[in-house]
Amino acid sequence: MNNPSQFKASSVAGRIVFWLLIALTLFFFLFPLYWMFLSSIKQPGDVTSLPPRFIPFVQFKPTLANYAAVLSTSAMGSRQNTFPWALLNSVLVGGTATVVAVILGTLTAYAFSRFRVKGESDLLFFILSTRMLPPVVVLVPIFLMFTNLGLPNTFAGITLLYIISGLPFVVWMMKGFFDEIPREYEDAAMVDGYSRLEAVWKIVFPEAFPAMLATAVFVLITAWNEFVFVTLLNKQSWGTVPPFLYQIIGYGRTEWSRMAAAAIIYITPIVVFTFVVRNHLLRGVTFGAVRR
Amino acid sequence: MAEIRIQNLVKVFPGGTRAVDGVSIHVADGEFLVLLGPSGCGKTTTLRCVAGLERQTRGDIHIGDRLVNALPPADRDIAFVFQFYALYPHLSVYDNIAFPLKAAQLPKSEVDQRVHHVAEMLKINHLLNRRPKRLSSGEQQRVALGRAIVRRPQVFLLDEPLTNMDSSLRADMRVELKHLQQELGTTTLYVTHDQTEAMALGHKIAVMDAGKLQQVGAPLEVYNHPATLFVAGFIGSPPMNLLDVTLAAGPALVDPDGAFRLPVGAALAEKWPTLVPLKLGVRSEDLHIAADPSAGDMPAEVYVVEPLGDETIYSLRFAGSHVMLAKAPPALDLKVGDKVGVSFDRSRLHVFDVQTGKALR
Amino acid sequence: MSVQPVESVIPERAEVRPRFAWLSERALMHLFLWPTLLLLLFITVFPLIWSLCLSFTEYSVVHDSSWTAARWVGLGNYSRLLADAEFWTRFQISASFVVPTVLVEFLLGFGIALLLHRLTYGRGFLSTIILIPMMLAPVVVALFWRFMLQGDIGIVNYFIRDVLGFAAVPWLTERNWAIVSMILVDTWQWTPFMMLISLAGLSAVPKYLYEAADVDRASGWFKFRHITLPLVTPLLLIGMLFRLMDTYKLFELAFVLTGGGPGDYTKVLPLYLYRMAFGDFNTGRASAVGYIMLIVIIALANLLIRLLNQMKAEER
Repeated sequence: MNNPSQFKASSVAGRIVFWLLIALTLFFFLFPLYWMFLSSIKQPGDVTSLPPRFIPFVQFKPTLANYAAVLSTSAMGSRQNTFPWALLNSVLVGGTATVVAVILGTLTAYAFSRFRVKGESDLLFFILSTRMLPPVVVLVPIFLMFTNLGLPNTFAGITLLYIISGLPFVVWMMKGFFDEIPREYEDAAMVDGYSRLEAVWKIVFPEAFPAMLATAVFVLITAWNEFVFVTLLNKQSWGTVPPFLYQIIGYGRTEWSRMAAAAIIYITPIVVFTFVVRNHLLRGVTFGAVRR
Repeated sequence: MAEIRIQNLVKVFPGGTRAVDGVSIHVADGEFLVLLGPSGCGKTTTLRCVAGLERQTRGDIHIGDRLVNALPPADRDIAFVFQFYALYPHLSVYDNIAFPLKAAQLPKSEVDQRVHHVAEMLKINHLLNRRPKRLSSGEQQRVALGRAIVRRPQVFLLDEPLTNMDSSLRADMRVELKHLQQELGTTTLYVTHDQTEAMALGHKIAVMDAGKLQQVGAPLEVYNHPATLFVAGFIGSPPMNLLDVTLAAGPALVDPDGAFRLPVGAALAEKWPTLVPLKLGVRSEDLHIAADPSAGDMPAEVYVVEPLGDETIYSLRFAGSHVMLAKAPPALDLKVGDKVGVSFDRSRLHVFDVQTGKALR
Repeated sequence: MSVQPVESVIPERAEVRPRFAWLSERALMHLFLWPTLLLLLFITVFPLIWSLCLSFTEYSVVHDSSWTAARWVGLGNYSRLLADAEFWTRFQISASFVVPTVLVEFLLGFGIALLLHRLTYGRGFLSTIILIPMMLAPVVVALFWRFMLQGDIGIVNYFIRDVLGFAAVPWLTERNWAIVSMILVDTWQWTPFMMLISLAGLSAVPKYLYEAADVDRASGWFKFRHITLPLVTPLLLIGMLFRLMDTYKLFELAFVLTGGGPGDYTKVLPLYLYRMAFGDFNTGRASAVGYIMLIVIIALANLLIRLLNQMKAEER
């Protein structure tokens, strides 16, 4: 890669330091994940024992009991108050919000990209600014609004909220994407006799589909991870996994091993998704503003 | 004495691509040699090996009388001009040009003197305080040249420096480059894919294709006596007309359809292989068009007319649906469909063996 | 070269009848735009205006109480806030978290990017793995670090105390260490973000600039200072601005990791707002706090937008 280095014999000491630093970095970022995973397969007693046990089978007997306990639907009284229920809610809310946000947002993004919209840059700036909004600032009014509309503690309210918070992201990501597709495609189709709607459906949509999928993953992850609104607006039993996890540690003795199991289950899809969209990560986390 | 001697250069990239395959070139002291070829032919790789930016797989490179194989670029006493100028973005023009001198730790007064001298030569002294961002492509290229010249290296290496310039500037820069090299007398190795540039600039042209050297010679030599089929087709605009023929009884060259028959001298024909595909080449300016065909001319019909202003290029359709291009002065105002007669000078014909690609004498 | 008559090649002209042709371009445009815009207005502009109004009132929301009970105080909330030492302490606490965090994330992220940039193989894989913390739910991250940072049985203190031989660190129980804990956890989660942006910037520097410097016998330091830094800085600044805005409005970490403690010591602005609105039910005043926070964010956002636009302009 760096051709000049072909002539410099990189010193042995230099290479050692280099790989040591890389190892340290990996250790710093990955050890907590490893530790969390270990805790999830330990018996409650082993979790907090000192000296800590690092290697399964050698230092402690791994168990799947935590996963079993977490996934059972019979804990803590009402059925609502269990992890599987919260997980189901997360999936439903996340899934619905993602689908709706991506469809609506993509259409809007297409309009911004292809049509001459009055006040386009202002509108776009407005849409971008919603990302910068601290959730707490709108917490009170939204709480009041939802109460008056009869929406809190329901699936509908939170889903609506997630749809709306996903929209700006979808618009920015997909607009950037549409801008990169030459509009000549639709023009050619329309010259051939198709209406614009047909041109979009037949030609642009298949091109855009992978980008929509990548965008959808990001929206899903955001909804999946969201904590503030769903915890603070839904004070009663309905909830997704984040508030559930928070509540577990409040109830009496903290079962860290169980929490670890629940956490591992919850983050596994995210880890998978991270790899799926790894080529779009830069664009996704900067809201489509930065492209490689 | 700064000659460049490239001997049996081979460069294989990881992954197996054989970019340069046994190339040997000698650039004499003070000579301007142009490495010409299509993209991917290995010319840039060869240049970068000479510079030390790539490490060759095999082969020797001498600059001056030193073997430079193991030397990093900085120690080879060369200057390299990149296709994209490669000016340090946040240094002023002055600092860009001065930088190589500062690295050599010359005293400040000397640095100053040399930078100004070079800026004068290239007519950029009014730009010395600007940043590269605010320069036009022509100005940027001059700064890049300035940076190369100021060190007075033994050898200049240039990698398609004019390719990225606006075409209106290119012709002017070409003239300036040639003049500059003549004045400085520095040995120069120059890479381009533009054959007009190569013809205009070089004392010698080395044509490359697919990693191999096709021919080395002065521009007119390469133009008038192409050694291979590739060189014949690559040099010259419009490209040389090439007809498929074989050597048949007569002796004569005939085309596969039998519509075309060109008798050849027995002495020549003896040296040529029979029954193998050959190509007959004739340049568009060597086809003479007569509006009134006379005997002995080949009949042809005008198919497309391209009036270029200083000359007109006619696509002529011959018997058997061969099409050849011919150049003629604009006065010969022919129209599509006109029937004409075409003749040519026998000494201006070229014959090539398709399989070996070599010219047959 | 042979030639065919043109007519035999072009087929019969096909007839296409468009569907939905009755939907004009303008109608389509409105159809595509309005649902989204309306929804966004609903959730941003409307609550913001309502919040603004609330900030001018003295009003206490106790679940379902009618908001017509609000009493107008004009700028009273704001003036009292700005005179309140507690408020400025909150700002200070926020700053003592935000500033070191962004700096550390920048230095670490850029440093790691410089390391990874030198790798030829495995760079993509390694960087993706390092990016995992950034994608996890902040709640999960905070909860787990809470577990790991426990004073006596936490794994971190095990390393410090039993492996390295120092005294155990009171991560979550001592005031200054609590802030450090927050910095630590946020760094763990978000340094990968800075690394990602830095890597993108480093990859964008054209290789031939370094080569030119090599031909000119430039030192490694020169190459870094005059080629790498100038070209990567815009992206780095954008990354830092993103992080600045995000840490400033961060809620989950303070809420879950420290609960604002010990005492009030890590009660950063968002948490402060929340407690005021839902703990003390001082809705009017909380709204005012929110607006002050908003003004700061807007200032930062303007900077960001300007930088982004400048970068786009340079790209062309």
